[in-house]
Amino acid sequence: MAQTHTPVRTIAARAVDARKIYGKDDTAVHALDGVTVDFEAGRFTAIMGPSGSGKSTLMHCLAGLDTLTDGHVFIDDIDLTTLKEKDLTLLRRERVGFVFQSYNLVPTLTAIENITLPKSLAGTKPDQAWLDTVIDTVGLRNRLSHKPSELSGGQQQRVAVARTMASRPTIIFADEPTGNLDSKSSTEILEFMRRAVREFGQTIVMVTHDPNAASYADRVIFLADGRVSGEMVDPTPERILDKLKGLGA
Amino acid sequence: MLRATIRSLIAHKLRLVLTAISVVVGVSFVAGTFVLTDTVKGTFGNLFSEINAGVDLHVRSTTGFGDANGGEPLSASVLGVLAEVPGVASAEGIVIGFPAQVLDKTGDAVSNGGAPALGWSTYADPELSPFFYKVGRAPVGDTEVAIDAATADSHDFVVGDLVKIVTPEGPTVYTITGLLGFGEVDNLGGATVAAFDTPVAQRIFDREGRFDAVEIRVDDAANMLAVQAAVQQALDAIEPESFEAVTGEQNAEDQADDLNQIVDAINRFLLMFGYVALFVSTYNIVNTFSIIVTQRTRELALLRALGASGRQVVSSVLIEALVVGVVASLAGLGLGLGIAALIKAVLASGGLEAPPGALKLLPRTVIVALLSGIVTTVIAAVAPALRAARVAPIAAIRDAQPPTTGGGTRRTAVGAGLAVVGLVLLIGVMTDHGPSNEIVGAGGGAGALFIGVSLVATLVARPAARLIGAGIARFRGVPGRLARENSMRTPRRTSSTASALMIGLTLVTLVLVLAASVTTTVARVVDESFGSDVAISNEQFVPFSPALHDTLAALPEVGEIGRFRFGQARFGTAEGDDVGIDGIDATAIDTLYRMGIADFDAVAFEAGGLLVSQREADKRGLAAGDRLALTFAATGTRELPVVAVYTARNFSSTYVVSTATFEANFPQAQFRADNLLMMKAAPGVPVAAMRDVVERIVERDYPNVTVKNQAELKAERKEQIQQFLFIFFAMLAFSILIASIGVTNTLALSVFERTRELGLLRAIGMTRSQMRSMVRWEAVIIAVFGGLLGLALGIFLGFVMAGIFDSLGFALDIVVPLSLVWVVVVAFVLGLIAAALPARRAARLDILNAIATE
Repeated sequence: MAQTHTPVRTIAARAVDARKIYGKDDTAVHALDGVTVDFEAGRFTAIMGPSGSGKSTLMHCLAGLDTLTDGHVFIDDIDLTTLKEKDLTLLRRERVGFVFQSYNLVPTLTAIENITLPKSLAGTKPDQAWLDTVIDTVGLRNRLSHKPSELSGGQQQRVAVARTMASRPTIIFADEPTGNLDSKSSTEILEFMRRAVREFGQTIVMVTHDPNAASYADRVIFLADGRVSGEMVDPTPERILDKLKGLGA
Repeated sequence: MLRATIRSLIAHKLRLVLTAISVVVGVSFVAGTFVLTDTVKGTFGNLFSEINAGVDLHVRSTTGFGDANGGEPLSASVLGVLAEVPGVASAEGIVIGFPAQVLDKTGDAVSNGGAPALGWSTYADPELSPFFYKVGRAPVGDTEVAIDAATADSHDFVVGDLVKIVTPEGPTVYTITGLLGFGEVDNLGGATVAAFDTPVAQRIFDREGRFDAVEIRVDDAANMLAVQAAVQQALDAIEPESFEAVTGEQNAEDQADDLNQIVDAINRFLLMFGYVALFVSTYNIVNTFSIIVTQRTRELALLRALGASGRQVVSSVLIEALVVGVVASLAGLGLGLGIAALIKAVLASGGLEAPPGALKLLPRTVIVALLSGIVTTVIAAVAPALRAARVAPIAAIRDAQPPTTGGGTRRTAVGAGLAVVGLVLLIGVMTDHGPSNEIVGAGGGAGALFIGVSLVATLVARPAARLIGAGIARFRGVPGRLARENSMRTPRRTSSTASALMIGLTLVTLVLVLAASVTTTVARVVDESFGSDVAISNEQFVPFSPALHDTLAALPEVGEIGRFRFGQARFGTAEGDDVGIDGIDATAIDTLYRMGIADFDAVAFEAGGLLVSQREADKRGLAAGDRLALTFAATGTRELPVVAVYTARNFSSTYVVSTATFEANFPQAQFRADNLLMMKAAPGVPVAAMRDVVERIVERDYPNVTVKNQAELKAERKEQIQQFLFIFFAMLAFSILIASIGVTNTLALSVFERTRELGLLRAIGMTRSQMRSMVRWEAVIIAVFGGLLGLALGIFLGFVMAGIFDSLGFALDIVVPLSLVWVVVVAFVLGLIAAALPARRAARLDILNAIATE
């Protein structure tokens, strides 16, 4: 067990010697091959790496969407590997937020209904003051009663980010959130995520292969072949590109 | 293209299997019905051939429009004349009487599902005899009888036992001298048979000096045709054009014809439900193929882009339908055979002994079953196929989302038009003003009506789902809210799925409304017309021994007593309409039985006068004093004077004659028994005391009838109607089952289509049980929509039918019963059940795969 990392801040999520193996014997693929990493609360972390490096798998396992073959993942010091399906769902609902690349919204619900959906699923009322703050921050006030089909791609992603923010989760996972957006919309989303971290102390983990997107993060974790291959604090796009070149991506 | 078709078949196997099952159920219903009725017909055909095997010629009277047993009896003198005709080896006069109700050792009436209790004369010539003595010998004299071996076996009678039999002479105890076999079997298609010495049978069944028919065996050496001609000549010499001599085979066919008509009626009744089931499955087929085509939009567009023609796309979809249709129809045929075999076994255990033999699978059955299944499937797939052909090649590149379509104006207009045409056709058929072909009129009419309503339903699907889902959305949280939104997403799919359910539930509603209306009407008619203290009959109004009337009339406790007999004649000539004729004792009119006649002329009535209902008088323009021609089956055309027009609403048919007039015109065995007795206690005797005495006699000697007062009579009628309802529901259950499969199918497809969305919901915290709940409530909304559509259409049709009945002479108090709530409850529960599988599937979705789904 690797217990070397000494946290300077509260740890929102952590993976300890996480292993994920697909297939058996000869055909076994080690998607995660002993990943140990901490994600500090109130920071914006990007995970980067070439295709097949295990970055998405790591995020899915951290979020309780996928299960590990071996090792442990924690959110708020809760060991996800010990949870039953139902408790995992509740954990996702209460402590985790998601932003996917596309198709983030339930098409039958309006923007505001999508934003409050996790709270509604839990059968609780959102904190109205906080909700107003979130809505104003993403600038969606006049779009709240629209259905997703009536919103642009960028607006849809803003609704998705607002949804994750609204329930004040321990951690937000964003999987290529700007992958389908033009550069203007991408910038809006990324800036909003950075504000969420800086102003509201939100914890965000974002998987991306776009160095420019990753440069909005406080810290970048590099994965290769299922292992952590490096780390960079206060990244810039240029430094990230250099590092990626070194990884052979 | 063929390869693409096959790939599609394999890829969509689950929903194709679900679709196929609905076709299988419908086809098996149709096939099973044909096989069963053909088998029963074959059984009876064999039976009648067997019992007529030794009969070369059968002589009967030809008055009226009588059937094989319906003619007037022949004078015994005819027998003497025929015995002298050259070439006649032997001639025997026979009596086939009714009732000869055998009582078992506990005193209960032996009865197999309403089959008649026949009395038969014995034969001197064993070759002419339809039965032989399996055990023992022929009965001789007043105190002996032989009974069919099946009855003896099932009720532990052996030769030498005493048996009580209720005949028109009343209950009599006989000694069993023999047990009868009929060819290879031990009874006559469920009927009980008691054979009496011929003179005894003649006396019991009021045939002294007469016979029902004469049967002749021809010398082996003689020429059959010559003898037949000689016999006919001898008959004509007695009285021209009054008798006919037919061959034994002909007589067997005629006898079988009577039964075949009943079997054919049952066949049509059952087939109706089979075709309804198939019709409902077309909805499933249309739905499935529409959705498959939508899902294949990209693939089809790619094929088009690669150069496939629209025609090739159409045929690729149609071939897929054809394969499903052929496989499902073959499976349905097999299942139908199985069901028929099962029912045959059940019937056999219920006393209807059939000769051992295979089920009758006629080529016609195979053709009709396969064709109906295949044609249904392919035709239903035509519209989706044409839509597939309209997929533009460009759709291959675009992200093709299934279009959300509502009820277009054209769709609604076409629907409304179809519904009106269907309704007009249906009304036409029922009032004899429409197409003469029942299949075209009734089937086409109902089909057009249902399709029309389904099309219009698309227009209301969205608001209806919103309304039905209001409570669910409010009280079932987010899953309920989403369920409602989902049910409103594709109005076409929601409405066509609901419409499939609507069809069965419309019929259920209609039957419930009519049953409640008939029950209420009957109760009111009983209240209004019942002037007696008690009535005696059995549930089916099967005629019973007239001796009961005489026995009761002689009791000091019984005051006025009247008998009722129900018959039919034709208005005017033998080609006229069938009209009901009741025979009622003159003394009962407006005393025991209210008819509402001012200045009733009992003498004229007794002398052959006719009472006519107000409605019939209005319809035919009749008034007291008119003379009216009626044609009777046995006695031919008679002119009868109209004595009075009666105004009371009672349960009499259109015409009433006196018992004497009835007996004169209905000499056939089955009409020489009473259907109903009504009586009052003698003056000063409490009703309960009278009833006690009457009941004791009935229980001892006439166990096939019961004594009841007004309230009990109503209750009995109600129960009968309930039983009838039950049969209907059992038959309609198949259609409703198919529609439920359709709901499952639609939900499964929706779940499949929304995989990503469901994955998202799960990812952001929807629990499995919330997911199940969401799918379940969507199914409930769709099903309840179907239930409400069925309810509305059924009630509407109930009023239409009541109006038609009214115009046909049956005034119906239309009642919309509270029990209709059950239609919605059933729909609700069906929705829950239908959702079980898709809900499970949705809940088990692998979240990662779901999110990754394109």
